[in-house]
Amino acid sequence: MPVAGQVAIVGSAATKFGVLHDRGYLDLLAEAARGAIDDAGVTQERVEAAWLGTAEPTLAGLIGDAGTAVTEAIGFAPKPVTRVSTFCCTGMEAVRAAATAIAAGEHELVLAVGAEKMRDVTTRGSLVARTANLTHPTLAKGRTAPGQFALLANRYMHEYDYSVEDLAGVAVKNHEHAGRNPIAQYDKPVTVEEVLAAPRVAEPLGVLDCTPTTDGAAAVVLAPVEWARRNAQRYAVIEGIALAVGDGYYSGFYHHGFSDYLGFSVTREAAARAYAQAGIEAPREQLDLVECHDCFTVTELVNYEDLGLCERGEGGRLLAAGATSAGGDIPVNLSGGLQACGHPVGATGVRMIKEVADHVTERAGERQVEGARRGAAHTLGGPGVAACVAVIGAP
Amino acid sequence: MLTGSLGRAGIALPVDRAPSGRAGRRCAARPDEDAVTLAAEAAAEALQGAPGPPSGLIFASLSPPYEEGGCAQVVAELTGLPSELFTADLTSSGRDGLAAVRLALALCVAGQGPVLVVAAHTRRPDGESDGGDGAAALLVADGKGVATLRAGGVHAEELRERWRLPGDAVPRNADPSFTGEFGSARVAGLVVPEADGNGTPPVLVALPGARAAGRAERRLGGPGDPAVSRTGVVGAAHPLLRLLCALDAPGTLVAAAGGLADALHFEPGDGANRVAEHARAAVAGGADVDAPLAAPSGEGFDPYVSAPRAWRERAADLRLEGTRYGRDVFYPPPPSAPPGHEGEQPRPQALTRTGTVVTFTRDHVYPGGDVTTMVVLELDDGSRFYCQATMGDEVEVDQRVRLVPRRLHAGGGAVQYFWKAQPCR
Repeated sequence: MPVAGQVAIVGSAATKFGVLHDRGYLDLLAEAARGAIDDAGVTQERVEAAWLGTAEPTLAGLIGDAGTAVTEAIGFAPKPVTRVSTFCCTGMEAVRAAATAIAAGEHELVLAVGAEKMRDVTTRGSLVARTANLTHPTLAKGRTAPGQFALLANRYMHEYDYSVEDLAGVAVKNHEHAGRNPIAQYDKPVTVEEVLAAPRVAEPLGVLDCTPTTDGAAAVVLAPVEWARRNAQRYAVIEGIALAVGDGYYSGFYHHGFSDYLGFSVTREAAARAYAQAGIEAPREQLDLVECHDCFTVTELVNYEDLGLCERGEGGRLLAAGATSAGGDIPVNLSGGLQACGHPVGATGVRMIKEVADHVTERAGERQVEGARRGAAHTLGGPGVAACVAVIGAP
Repeated sequence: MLTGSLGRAGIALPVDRAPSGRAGRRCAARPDEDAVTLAAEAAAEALQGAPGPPSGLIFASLSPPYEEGGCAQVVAELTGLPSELFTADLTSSGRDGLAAVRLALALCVAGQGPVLVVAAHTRRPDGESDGGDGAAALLVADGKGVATLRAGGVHAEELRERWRLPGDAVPRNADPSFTGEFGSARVAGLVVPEADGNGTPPVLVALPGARAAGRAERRLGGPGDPAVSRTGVVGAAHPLLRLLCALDAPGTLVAAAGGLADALHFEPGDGANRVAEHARAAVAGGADVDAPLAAPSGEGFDPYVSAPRAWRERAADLRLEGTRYGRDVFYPPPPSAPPGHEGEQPRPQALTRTGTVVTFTRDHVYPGGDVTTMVVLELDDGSRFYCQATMGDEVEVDQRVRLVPRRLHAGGGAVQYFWKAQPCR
């Protein structure tokens, strides 16, 4: 049985996102997991298996480097738990893997939880920095995460005649959206001037062009649609979900033809497959909202294009026209996105799916898109070498 | 008799020329240049168009990045030389550049040539007031070349003029009143009378200090050192630099340090004028700057290092070798045949060293440097390359660049060498 149309999201929860010095990794994981199970209206005994998304356990003293963290956090023994890690697609991949198990008939109720504890150490004090020479050959040459997307930003501006003000518009929009999201890391609006005046990180990107580092967790409980129809108070349906993977870091930087530094082929691949599963041919007309991977301001603009919301090169103009703002015809990142809601890497994809599910089940509070029936969520991993796209719809 | 020829030569002088007291200007390396990268650039120029690789490489330097463990093999890797290669490091004094030429002549006479002699120096922050940075390389062979080289007199006596004990950050110097009378200037004179049966040709003198060398050379009837006011005393490379600048006329070169001295006689052949003009132009070139570029702090950057990884990836990192499948070049070498090339035989392929900037960023958060400019290149062979720009240089989209060897950092206690994009000047 395919996942598309057959697997339901029957419960969800997320912790506050932010700098959470008073809570550890397991505390966050437990809060999200237990919250999702409670939201599903079932007891933990009914949940048969779990998938854990944590991308960087080295940031948290290696906690979360195996699925047993879930077992430890909520007392899940002896049930199977599998940890997945696919760069920034980690959380959504945990959902996809869990959904596959439901579709296969292996389980009836499963948990997908993503958690990341990123703020216990400074960026330069982390094991990630210390392993700069060892993790991957290309990383030792001077690569940083903002640096790789800044390469895209400069090429994008050069090719399509955009400015840093155009990029800053993404941060302004998403910070404004975050003011209506109670779990967001930031809740204050920012101006274009403030974005441009912020310290530079990797030119042309400054601090306010970049996602923050964030502590947080999110979880969903999945079940067959048939089970949901009989038992769930409310549920959303996974109408399509697809992961596309390029071949690691080499591709993005070295392989001619893999990247034109104007977008990400993996996003286009994943979107094409997920849209086909969901029967979407005109995304801008058939989707009511999108949560996409705005790890840096420029990323959101090229995502518009890769997700088929506009033609290539038109992302900046789509933003400027207000189409992707709250109240626009295709609002993007009503949660505040990674820019302002925050980006606990393993949790982000799960949080995005929860956000879209909340809209199609009319539980999105002040952010609610009236009459939303269908939305898409998208994560992008590494230097653009993995992308996951999910289409979530009302029953 | 130790006689051979100078086949080809190369010079690598940093573009920056910083003030250097009464000596005028000196070549000032950028922080990502060191004796190994300068040597590799000079060696590459010397070997350009050579019919085959040398049998040996002798590296001479007073400022080797590795005081133990050797640098010649790194130069060999960066220059793409085959691993069947004799190498030696001479690192005791500025005279070693010329001593290396004598050893190379001996190897050639013994049928072990050709030998690449490469000498390099970066000024050390220890009171080397007239020191400069740079490198020179000579491909020494038998048969005809652009010049004939004949080893001259030698001398050795225990005379401590300047020395260091293990752990010394600053050299120790003998009483100037003693070394002024009995030091290297006197010792240099001991190897000159042997020079030529038909009368002493112009004598060029290379000593650790510019002023002492100038006085000694004038006493011996030499022309004086026109290069030193533009380059500084370039350590072990200085004797070779003087030789190349003066190659269009016969002469004798003497290098001395403490109680050690060597002499070399040279006679120009076909092409000597071109080599000398190129050398003099390199010396006269560069751009004046107010001060050398400061090194980034690299504070708190203490990455793990892996000798196995560095060894496994030396072909890609140092030799800049990709893999060719059919007409396509892949870099770094993929672990298995890429799609569409299954079953094809992979072959090593050195990347083209020139290309065009596709995009770039000035990264303020890379832990190895204050601001690190990263670039993506389209190389002229069609392959894609990702690297840093040379320190202190700005790039822009569509700019033409060439790849040059540079150090990335020495975090974790090992020097990481790789290739950087330098704007074409």
